[in-house]
Amino acid sequence: MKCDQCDKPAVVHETVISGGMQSTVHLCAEHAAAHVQHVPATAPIADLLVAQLTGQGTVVSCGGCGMTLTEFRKHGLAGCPSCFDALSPAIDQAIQRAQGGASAHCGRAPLRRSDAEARSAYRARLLQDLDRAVAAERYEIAAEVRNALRQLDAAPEASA
Amino acid sequence: MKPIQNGGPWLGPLGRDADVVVASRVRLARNLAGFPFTNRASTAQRRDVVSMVQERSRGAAWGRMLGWIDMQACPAAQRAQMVERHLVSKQFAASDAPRAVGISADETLSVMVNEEDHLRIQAMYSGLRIDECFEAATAFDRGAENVLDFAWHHRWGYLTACPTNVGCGIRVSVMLHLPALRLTSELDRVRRAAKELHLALRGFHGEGSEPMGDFFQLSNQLTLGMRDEEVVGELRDRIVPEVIRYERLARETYRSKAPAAARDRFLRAAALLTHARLMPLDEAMKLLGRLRLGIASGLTEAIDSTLVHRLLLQVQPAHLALARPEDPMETLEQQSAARASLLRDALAPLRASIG
Repeated sequence: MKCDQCDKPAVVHETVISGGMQSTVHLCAEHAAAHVQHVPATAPIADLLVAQLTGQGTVVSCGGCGMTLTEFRKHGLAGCPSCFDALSPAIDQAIQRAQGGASAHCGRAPLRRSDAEARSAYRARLLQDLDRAVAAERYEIAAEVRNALRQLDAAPEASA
Repeated sequence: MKPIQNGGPWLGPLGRDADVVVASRVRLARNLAGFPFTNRASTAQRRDVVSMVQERSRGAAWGRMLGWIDMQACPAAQRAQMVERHLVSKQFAASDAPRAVGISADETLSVMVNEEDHLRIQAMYSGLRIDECFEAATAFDRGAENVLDFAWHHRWGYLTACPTNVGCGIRVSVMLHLPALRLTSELDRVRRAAKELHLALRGFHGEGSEPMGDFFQLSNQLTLGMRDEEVVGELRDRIVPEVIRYERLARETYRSKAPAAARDRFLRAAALLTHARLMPLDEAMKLLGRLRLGIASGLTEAIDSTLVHRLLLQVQPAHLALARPEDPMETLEQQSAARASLLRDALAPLRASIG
């Protein structure tokens, strides 16, 4: 098998899981050496923030399916729709990392959904997040949450 | 499902820019509200998801066009054949949980139920036909959302198990044949450019597969913050035409700078394919790729690329085994012998033409 970067034989075969996507990298000795220097460090900041916001040692888990933050990090998959609120803000950061920094959906929405209900629950959750972020003096998080609130208020109501 | 002898319409000769683009595909990821995602669902819940999707889609024209296959009841050989035909994913075929796939008669539309997401709706056509794929997948989606509640979030849009799919949940892929870019060592540049544009360049069978015969799948990685029409438009109007232009330029350069080598490369491939007694899969794919390039370059008129496309499928292990039940294929050597024999028969007109 040839190296992904050149025509030399590959000696290193590495399976990389990034944002839940698995891919295999085949590299020759030279490119493997270069590759090692470029492996990005995973952001420990998410852990720190979660610890700050939730209190050290608390296990964050989803009320809908029981998925814990650790499990989500390990497999890179959410367990159910409720995870997206329950595992916030860690899951928000995982999404934004996987999505080139994009911070919200735009475009189509399904026809059938109890829009008003979901909206108010989401709003309540954001307000809670905002309080916690301010209390923890994590102002960069607070700014993020304010952005999300603004986006929510700007988004048009869907016809149910 | 019967062993399929033709290439499926999505592997036909039709479609724009077919000298470089083999096929286009659009896939939408959707989940049902009120259920855990597949990775977290119990066996009973997975069964409920399958029956809910099947029952509700049978009531309308968009759903009735699908024939359903229960994957648990489907023999391994046929599951493998569906993977080779790009109708289901490898992981989906390998799982032993309750799951089903609905496939339209012409195989252009397939809907996997209980893949990583509850629904993976995919449409495929030959050549550069992203729009047709998008329309077909969207028609099913629009029909389905009248009878199914899709998981949705105000901020993240359509919810998917993996964060890489949230938002519009769309994956547009184009299968490209890039022999000249590979030959002229320009593929690295394409790879780098793709990475910068948040695109993935993968092998013949998509995620986690090796490039075989210089066939590659190029697909979008971002699904959030862009409308699905924008994702489609970006690939259709900007990225794919650029790769096509680049590949054609490389082909032209190669032909004009080394005409004898180009012809020799084609004839060697033809000679091996029409005479070899043992033909491993990777070699067959490589040589068939060279035939395809030879046909696109006008080096032969004895065969056309439709035949090559059909053979690309027929040489795959499950297709081979199902088409030749009388052949013992317990060892790789027996499989290689059966493959070589199939190729010699199918390419007889080519053998006659090269003398």
